[in-house]
Amino acid sequence: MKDLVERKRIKSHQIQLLLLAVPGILFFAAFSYFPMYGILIAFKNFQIKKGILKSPWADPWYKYFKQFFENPYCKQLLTNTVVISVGKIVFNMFFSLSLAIVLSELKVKWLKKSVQTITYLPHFLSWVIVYGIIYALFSESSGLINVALRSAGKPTIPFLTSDGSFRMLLYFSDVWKEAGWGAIIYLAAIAGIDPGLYEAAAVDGASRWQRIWRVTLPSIRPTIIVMLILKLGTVMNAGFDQIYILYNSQVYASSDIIDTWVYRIGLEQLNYSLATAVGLFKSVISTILVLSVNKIARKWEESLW
Amino acid sequence: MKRILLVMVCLALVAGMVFAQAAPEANAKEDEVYKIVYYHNSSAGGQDPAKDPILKALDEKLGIDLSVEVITTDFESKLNLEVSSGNAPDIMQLKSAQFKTLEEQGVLLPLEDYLPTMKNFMQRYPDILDDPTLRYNGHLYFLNGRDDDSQRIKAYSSLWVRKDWLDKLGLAVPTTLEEFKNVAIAFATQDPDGNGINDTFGFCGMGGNAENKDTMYAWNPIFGAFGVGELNDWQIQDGKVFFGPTSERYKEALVWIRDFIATGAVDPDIMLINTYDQIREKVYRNQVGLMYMTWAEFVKAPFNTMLAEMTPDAQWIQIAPPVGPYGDSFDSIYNVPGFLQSGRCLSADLANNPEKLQKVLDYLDYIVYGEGLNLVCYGIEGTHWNYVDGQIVTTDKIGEVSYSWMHQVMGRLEKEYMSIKFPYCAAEVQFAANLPRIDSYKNFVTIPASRNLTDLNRYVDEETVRFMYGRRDISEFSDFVNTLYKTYGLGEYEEIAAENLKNAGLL
Amino acid sequence: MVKAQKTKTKHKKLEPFDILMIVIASFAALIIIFPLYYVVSLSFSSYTQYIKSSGFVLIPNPISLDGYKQFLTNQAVPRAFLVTIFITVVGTLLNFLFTVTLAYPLSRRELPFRKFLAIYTFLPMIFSGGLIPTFYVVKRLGLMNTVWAMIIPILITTYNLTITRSFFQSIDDAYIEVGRIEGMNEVQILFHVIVPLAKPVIATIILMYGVMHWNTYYHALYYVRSSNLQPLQVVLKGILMKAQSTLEETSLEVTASTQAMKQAAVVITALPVVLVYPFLQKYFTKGMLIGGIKG
Repeated sequence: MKDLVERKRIKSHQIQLLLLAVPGILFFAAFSYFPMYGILIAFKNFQIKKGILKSPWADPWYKYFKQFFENPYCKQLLTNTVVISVGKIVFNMFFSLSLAIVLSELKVKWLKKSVQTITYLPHFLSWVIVYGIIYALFSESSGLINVALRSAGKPTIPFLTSDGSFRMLLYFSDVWKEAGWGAIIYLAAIAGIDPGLYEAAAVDGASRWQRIWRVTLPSIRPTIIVMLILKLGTVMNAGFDQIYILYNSQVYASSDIIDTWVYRIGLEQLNYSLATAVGLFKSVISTILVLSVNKIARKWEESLW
Repeated sequence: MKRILLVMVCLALVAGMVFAQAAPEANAKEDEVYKIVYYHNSSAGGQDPAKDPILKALDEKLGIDLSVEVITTDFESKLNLEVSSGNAPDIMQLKSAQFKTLEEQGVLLPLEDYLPTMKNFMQRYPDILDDPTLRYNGHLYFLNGRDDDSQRIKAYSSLWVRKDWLDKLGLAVPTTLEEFKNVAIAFATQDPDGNGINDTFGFCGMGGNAENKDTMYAWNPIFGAFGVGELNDWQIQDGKVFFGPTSERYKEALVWIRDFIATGAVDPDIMLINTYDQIREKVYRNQVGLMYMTWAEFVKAPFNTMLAEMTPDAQWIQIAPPVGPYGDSFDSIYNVPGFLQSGRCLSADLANNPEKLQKVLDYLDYIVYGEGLNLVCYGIEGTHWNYVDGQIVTTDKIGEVSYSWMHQVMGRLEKEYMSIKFPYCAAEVQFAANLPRIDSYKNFVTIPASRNLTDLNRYVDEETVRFMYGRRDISEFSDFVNTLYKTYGLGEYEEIAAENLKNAGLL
Repeated sequence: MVKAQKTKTKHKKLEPFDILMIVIASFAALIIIFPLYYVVSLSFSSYTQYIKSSGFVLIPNPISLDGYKQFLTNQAVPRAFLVTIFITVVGTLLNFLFTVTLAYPLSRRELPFRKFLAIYTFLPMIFSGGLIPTFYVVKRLGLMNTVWAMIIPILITTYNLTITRSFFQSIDDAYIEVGRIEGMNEVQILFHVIVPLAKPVIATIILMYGVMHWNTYYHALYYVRSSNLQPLQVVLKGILMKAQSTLEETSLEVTASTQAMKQAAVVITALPVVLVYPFLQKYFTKGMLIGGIKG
């Protein structure tokens, strides 16, 4: 009897929970799942006037995938995309996390508040403006650094036009712009840690370093893993806006990525089908990555589902 | 947290009230007034219709409701979306790539049957129907005809040199490639600005990824001295069409540029620069003495006053392109207008609504020549300009219609326009307009199926820069050409180019 | 007396570790602030000074407000501010509601079809049908050319949903059980128990969504035609890109925005979001007494 009441109660909560989720489920159905028939464009010779469903099928169906993979730059585009993207994830997560920990350990309130606000600011500059700053600092003929080098009689450094330094520039301009913004998530996670854990560690005689290692990091591990998985979901993107504004013909070999290539093709040829095929390929790779990382993460009892 | 939510709710209510008041005005016009929409692609931004006397005059004169929408960014994707959802604008400005796609899909209206009914149009372009070079698949799509040489200006750019630096170093105006190089080296090494610091460069220009400009833009006159063009250059010689970068002359130009760059006289930023702002900054800072630049971004207002203010001593003069080893001297290439040009087309949907189509044609015919053309070029007669001795003279209110470019849907009489709008630049306009240019035919080269022009362009661009900077040895030039054929299918482009040019009667 | 004691203990607490943290934080702030200072000082500089100081203006002299005047007298700016404020405030409120009402069920183990729904809400981050079909949906729903076209298609982002759900999951089940025993329904539990306990993450998503709306660009570009509904970022991009890529015939007559105006535009458009931040900061403080959350 009691069991039955209990089961009924649970059932009622379950129904309530489901009802609560309905608006969100409908939203995804309307704006994400319904439009997914657009993926068909990748397999069709898309005709603007006929629309997606009535356009004829591509012959063979993988025509546009073939076009992408047979492209002479395909290998380079893939390598650049992955290398730049992974580099950014690593640098960005490291600096965001470090910043969040340093901020949370700061005892001087006003300093904490101001550093937090300052590091958050660059997120609001568009890449065009950041390019202006980079040019003013790193240009070989009139940049601050090279002007100083030249007046000291030293050889100038082609920061923006050599392959090696250009990638570093991509990583660090990204860290500069986004680290403070990225730290917010970790700050929120650190804010959620039970203060009792720190007290217990202090009683055990743990030093401040040890407390970071033994309390802070393990406590926000779920957040770190979730962030990592989310970032891997966009690993095939590598940051179009930044690269498109910053790159130039001398560093194509190290910085041309899938998205910049697709964009240039769009400008020249307006090939929707090719763009959709490439997008689909990117999505499939991301899915595989997310699924496998999620599986590994499950070992630490943290997963997306 | 509650307080923040409360503040947000209040803000939302206030903003909501503002919007309620500013609800979009109802379309309470009479039925026979057709709304005509024109999409114009320009990052400059349009004029508020409420403050647009030209628009008002056109609407009143023609009984239409004209809407000129200036799309500042991502024009192509926006237009494609509108077209694919059945909202194609009546008149649209297209670049060649988009034109080809839309034409293939039947979005554009063939014009050859309608043009003869347009009186003013036929007066300005009497030969347009007989010109095979403008036909694509037998049809005429672009509204832009071709003015004759009395009105056409092929380009605005030229080389510029600082005369005062030349004088100071006792050098003559360079006329040959060797003199050009020597002047540049002298500018870079002999401290022409006399500030005691080695902070000047010999040569600069725009070499970066600017839209609508190939990346070799700055090097135009150097390639011209070898009789070839920059990256995307298709020339006709001895009855045959060839791709510029495969030629022996191109190779020689690369060798010369490589040696020139190695002297250190060239601004190391040259291949990065992609805005005119960046070049002007170098000019105002006395960092450069020779450059390739358009007069419009240099001596037109407000740049002319800025130049005088920033560097009062500087004397910039335009010079002819240097003469190369074979006696060639060209400022740049001139892309002969063909069926792949950019310009304005009409929507095929108009054919379903003959009354509206007639209104559109009337409107276009009005602004193509005479009274209407003057209106969209110079504004209202009596307010913005007057006839003085049969000549148009602008008043001091001409600044009110500085946006008039967005109404010039049918183009303008370029030479007349320049002399009326920029009388103080007449000499510079004339000089640049008269420079010799190589006819080039990229506007006739369609992209072969399953080829990406983007890849070809990138390969030419990237390898050219590597040759120029000595990162790839010039002995590999023949490999470069072979790769163009083998990997990027240049042969297919050549076949198509030959066929298209034959059909156009040019080969 | 109490005050004196407090300062005393504060001084006592500054160990070498604290000094190290102060040094690192200050160093990070310096690296970030130097280029930012470039933007601000340039926005107050005259062009002459900008040119003479080869790009880096240390102290604007004389202080010139021309950039700000040019930006604020741009006909589109005041209107664009209103539009952006509206979509930011209303949009963020709706985002908050839609996100927590979905994140809460997803965070509960007893939710039927939980795994399916988790994948269902995650996939849209990776797969998208593209512009054209989404455009159809917006058009069919009658949202075209309204402010709602910039709000409704982005009611929930998977990113924010995921971090919210992940935080909710870490809240002790006991709180929910207590609520249920007291006879609360799930909506009450969500808003009276869960949300107050999850302040750090709520503050985070409000910030993330707010900034997303503040930066709205593509939705306006594609779905909004009318010029009096254009948000700030569209106007801003127009100013930054002006005359950089026009065809020659128009660029003959259009003058690019001045350096000062570009920088002033950036400063003014970023200012409101920057000013909001300190109000949210207190929710990111370590050791806040939200208590009882599992490690």
